[in-house]
Amino acid sequence: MSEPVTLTINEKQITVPAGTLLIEAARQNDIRIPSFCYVKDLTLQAACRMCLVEVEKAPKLQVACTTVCMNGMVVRTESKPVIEARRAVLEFILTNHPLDCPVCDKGGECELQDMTFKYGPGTSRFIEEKEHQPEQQVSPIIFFDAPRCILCYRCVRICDEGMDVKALEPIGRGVKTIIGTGHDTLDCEDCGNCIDICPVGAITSNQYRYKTRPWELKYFGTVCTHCSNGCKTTLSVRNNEIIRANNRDRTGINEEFLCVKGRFGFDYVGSGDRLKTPLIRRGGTLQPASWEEALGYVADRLGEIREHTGPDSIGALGSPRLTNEENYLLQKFMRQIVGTNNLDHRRTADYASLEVALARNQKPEALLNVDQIKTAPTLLVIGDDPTTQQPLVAFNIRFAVRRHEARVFIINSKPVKLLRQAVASLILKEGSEAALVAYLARREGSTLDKVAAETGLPGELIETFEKELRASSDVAIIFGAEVRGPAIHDLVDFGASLAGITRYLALSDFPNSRGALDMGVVPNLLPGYAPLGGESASARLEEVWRGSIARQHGLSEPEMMEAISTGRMKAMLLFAANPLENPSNPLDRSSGPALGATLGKLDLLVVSDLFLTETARQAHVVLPAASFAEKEGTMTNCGGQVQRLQRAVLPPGEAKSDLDMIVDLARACGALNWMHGPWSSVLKEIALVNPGYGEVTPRALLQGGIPQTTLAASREALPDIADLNALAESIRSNRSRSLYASGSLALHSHTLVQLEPRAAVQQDFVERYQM
Amino acid sequence: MNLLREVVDASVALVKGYGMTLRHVFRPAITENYPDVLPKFEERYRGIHELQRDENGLEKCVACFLCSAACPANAIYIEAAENTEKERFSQAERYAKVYNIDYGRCIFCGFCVEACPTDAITHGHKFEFAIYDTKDLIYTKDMLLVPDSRKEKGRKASDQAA
Amino acid sequence: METMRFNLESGQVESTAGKAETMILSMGPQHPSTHGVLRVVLELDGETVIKASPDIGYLHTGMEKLSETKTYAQVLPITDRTDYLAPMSNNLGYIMAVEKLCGLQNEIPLRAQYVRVIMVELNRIASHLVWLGTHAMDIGAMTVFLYCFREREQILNFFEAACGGRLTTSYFRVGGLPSEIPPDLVPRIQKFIKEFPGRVDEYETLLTKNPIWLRRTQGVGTISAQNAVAIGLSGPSLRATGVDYDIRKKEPYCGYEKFEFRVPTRTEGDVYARYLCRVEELRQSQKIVQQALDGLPGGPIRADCPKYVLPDRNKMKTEMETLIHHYKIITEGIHPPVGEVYHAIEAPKGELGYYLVSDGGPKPLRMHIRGPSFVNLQALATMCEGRLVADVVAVIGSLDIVLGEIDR
Repeated sequence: MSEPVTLTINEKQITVPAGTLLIEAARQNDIRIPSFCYVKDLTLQAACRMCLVEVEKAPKLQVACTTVCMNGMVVRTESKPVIEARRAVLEFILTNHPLDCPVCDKGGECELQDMTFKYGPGTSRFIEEKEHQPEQQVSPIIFFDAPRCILCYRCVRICDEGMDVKALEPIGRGVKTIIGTGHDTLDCEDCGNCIDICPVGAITSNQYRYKTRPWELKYFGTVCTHCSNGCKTTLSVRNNEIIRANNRDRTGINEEFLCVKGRFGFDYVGSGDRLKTPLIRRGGTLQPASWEEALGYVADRLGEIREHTGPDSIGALGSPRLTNEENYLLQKFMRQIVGTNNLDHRRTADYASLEVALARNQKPEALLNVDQIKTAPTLLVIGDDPTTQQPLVAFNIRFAVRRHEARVFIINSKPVKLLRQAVASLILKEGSEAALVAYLARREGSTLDKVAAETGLPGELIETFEKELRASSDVAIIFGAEVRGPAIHDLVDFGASLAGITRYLALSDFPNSRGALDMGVVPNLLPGYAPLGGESASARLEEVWRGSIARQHGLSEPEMMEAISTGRMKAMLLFAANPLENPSNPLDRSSGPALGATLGKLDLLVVSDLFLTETARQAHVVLPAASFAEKEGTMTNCGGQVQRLQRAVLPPGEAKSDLDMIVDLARACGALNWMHGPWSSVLKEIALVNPGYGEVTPRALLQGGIPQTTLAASREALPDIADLNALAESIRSNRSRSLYASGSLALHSHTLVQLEPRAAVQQDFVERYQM
Repeated sequence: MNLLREVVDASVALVKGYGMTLRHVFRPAITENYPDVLPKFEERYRGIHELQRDENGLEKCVACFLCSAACPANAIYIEAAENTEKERFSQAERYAKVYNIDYGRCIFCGFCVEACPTDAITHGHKFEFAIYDTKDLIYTKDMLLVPDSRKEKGRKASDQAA
Repeated sequence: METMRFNLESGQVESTAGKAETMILSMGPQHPSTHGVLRVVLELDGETVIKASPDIGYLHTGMEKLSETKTYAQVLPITDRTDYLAPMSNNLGYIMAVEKLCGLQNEIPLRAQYVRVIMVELNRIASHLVWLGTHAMDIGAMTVFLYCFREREQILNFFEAACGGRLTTSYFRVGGLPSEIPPDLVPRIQKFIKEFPGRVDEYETLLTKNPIWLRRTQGVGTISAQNAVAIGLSGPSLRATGVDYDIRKKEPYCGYEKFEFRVPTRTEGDVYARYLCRVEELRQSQKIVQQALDGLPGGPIRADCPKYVLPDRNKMKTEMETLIHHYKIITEGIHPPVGEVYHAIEAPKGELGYYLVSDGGPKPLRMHIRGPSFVNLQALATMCEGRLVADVVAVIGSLDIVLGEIDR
């Protein structure tokens, strides 16, 4: 890095690193230079000319967004020629701008309006007729109005560079230039980033179209709960109805980015199918009941069953859709009040093995979060398909490649779109990832020939791949559910043999997959990955909880199903869990009947959910739950970043959050000392029992911070690896799903269902871009 | 002497005063006989609003929300929607699906009229809206919208034909 | 006999033993002659007032605080409701303060200034007419009230013709006027103004030399010039003590320096002197309106300053830049530079000042009103103490207070 340079802007001396752009240098020093086309981290365009500034000794005004700071430069941003130039630029832009403000959706948050109001002329000299072009609907969710476009090329660049989709491009020349798709429709990933990034109303959203005005809305920054990346999404609410979601302040871990789910997939919240009152099965049908009735009934029946057949005949499923607090209280309820460890949830990534493997190798700093992908010099992506399953991870990988030429290595059983960014890749046989990892870790008995046969790849290819990989340092390893159990230990061993600091990120499917595991909603791990048998951890819990807890191992989800069919299990509590759904294809009901018959054997099935799911239809008691937009709490994303959900709207009818439900149920069961306050007090208790959540305080969250969890597993008391491997057996990922699907909730999102057929478009990309 | 002067002055003042009032007895009355006779307002009088139509009978309002933004009392509530080929309410792409003015809040300042870029909202001369329930002070779009003159004409024509 | 008594100053209940026995009487807040909801706590020794303490706040609506939540334009209707007898003056005071904040004070077109003067002076006449009518009625002269309201009605009709509002005018805009005055308004005002001096003669015939009126007002509620200045009295009440202070003369605004008029003063400082000052002001205002109508210039009615002033309606419908400015001024509001200003005008009741603080945003950070009624009311105790209860009514009437402005 060369020496920093010193320059003068508006009589103010500033020093910036060499190579800084003038516009950035000014902004860092609170000197506002207006611009339309300049967007940090996208390529430079210098199309709008709004950022013209006066540089001494330069013959003409210079464009601040492409001028690099030089030593001794003297710059003026508010001098008379600059002010006149800005007026002229705006006058020029407005010559062909239609008088649409009263109808345009952007009105009120339009950058062109703001700039004109601030810098532009007050009257028009242009009296000629304006060129008109009709507005087009280019995709189910995007409208394009060419005359409003000011040709800043922001959309073109975000689509090309950010999304690697290249659906938008400038067409025509001179005054006839428009941003177009090349054909009638927009073939893209429907991320809608072009809507957000457009400074004017040229690209608008169908969902928000002609509904309201930005100043009429209330804004709630919360977390998208469609995948495990945990993007910030800002819900715009009017009259207790979510009108739109976007990332209007460009903050949060995702900054510019939101995918189709985060932007358009909120509409299930307002669905008319939502459960509004508790239901109790009476005479074969589910009938509305009051909360007192429903919870009283559940508590009575649980008491009876516990008395007759013991606490181990009762089981519960938590969910990666619940907040940390809810999952925590659920396991506390089961372990303390019911007295059993029959607890599980749908697991889609093996965080437990990763934690333990890292703890064994003493690598507490080795957890990678989603942000750090952006700065990683080398990335190894094993399995999963980030483009469709983890859109932010994919976005950040592309960022790393674009901004500082990060080297991406891909191991996958299918050709994925990220191959376009890869320097080397191995497309191997499905299910052979573990074998390859074992070979890379030089596991005993694994030879090149053997692994070549298993993966179906030529040995030389694997060797070159490994050689290339080993030539890099500071590798960030991102892996999906393909690598689990023993393979994770191999992977960590392999990582330890690489140069620099190797870091790991396990990709899961659901918003709080990591949090649910952190909270110990599994049969043989306590919160913080403490072993169930470990005396110190159990004793600590008993001290904090002021009561004894069950010590014998519980059953995992498949084991519970087995126990139900043999009649050992009598009662199940399902919170936001839907075991009858086929994880890889929720539209497929074929797995239902067999499992459904099994669940039918239960004496008591309690389901809490947003909708009357196929499981809820079989329940004895159905409890209406609040959605992510209707409750407060925290979620831990796949990279261990904890973020806060904010309540934006009120739940429909009598629905309430699972947190309130679990506390009320505990109190109905006689645990009158359960006096949990809001989410924040539960979070404080979590920090007491889970060492990984030491930094995660309500204060940090309320101040807008994104606290990071640390390695929770401690070396002194590690769980038994055999137990972990047994758990890893029942991990079920939904790899084959499309970009538009995420659990059963997406089925109730009108927009996502409508867009689902466009999954074929993405498949098309992958095939078109095959290398 | 002083007392005498005072008495005289006072008497003169009183007589002049009574003379003044007496003269007024014979002048025409200027009192208005409301409610028997409705008062006449100036043209700009700010009464109950009217939503205007254009020459084709379409609503002038395009639901731009400027009136509700200008309103100091937050009296105007609008929900916008898109015109379709089948159902066209206004000339532009959007129209006001819901347009309520809460006369419990309205202060008749006229800022909405000033804000309207399409001259859709204007002040009428109606002013009597006393009511027993404040809920009834919320006027909806159909109460505010002026009748479609073409339809009226059409109806009259058909009445005559019948 | 020992009785217990509430001491207003200490807030304690104390014994009256050994003291002259007095009585506490609440006058108002529901009393026809306290002009609204003023409560005066009178301590009486028989019929004599020992102490008179005004108790205010019954009409408090939080106008100043409310202004902080509204854009600069939206604050205007609030100012109508402070001194509701002089909405035009309040509009003008506020608008001129905003104009000063935006640095527009020299940009206002002459025509707009003249129309402002016409409206404000008509409003002064209207306000004084209400004062005269009610004051006379308080003292017992019923007829004057009816005559005064007859003329005031005409002025309100002019307001209605110009802006559509009678009591809550919300006229004037930052930079000028919202619309051109209707063409027939000038001749109508001309006609009224010509007849008006005769009308004032009518009121004077009924009052000025009337012996009852004289007995009730002369030597009643006296205040010295020194005391008046110390209390901060302003307007006709101050001028009735001999202090020649009128902002229209001392710090001319809105082009008042172009008009010829006299500032009437008296030296007695009693109710009668205040009466004479105000009646003379009616005549002087008539002269100003006459001059303004005769010299009404043509030209634009709004300053050419697109960042602060709403653009022309016709241009807004055809020009993009203008439409954007219209849209932004309406939805977001104007952004005056950071700073604070105080601007005072001579309202019918005295010095009306608006104090505004801007943080550069579209809403005032702080808005404070220096209302003349509030300050003038402070003189009540000085004027009443030692007089009879009946004089309190005359004094309150002569102070010309409006509770909307006092309580805000």
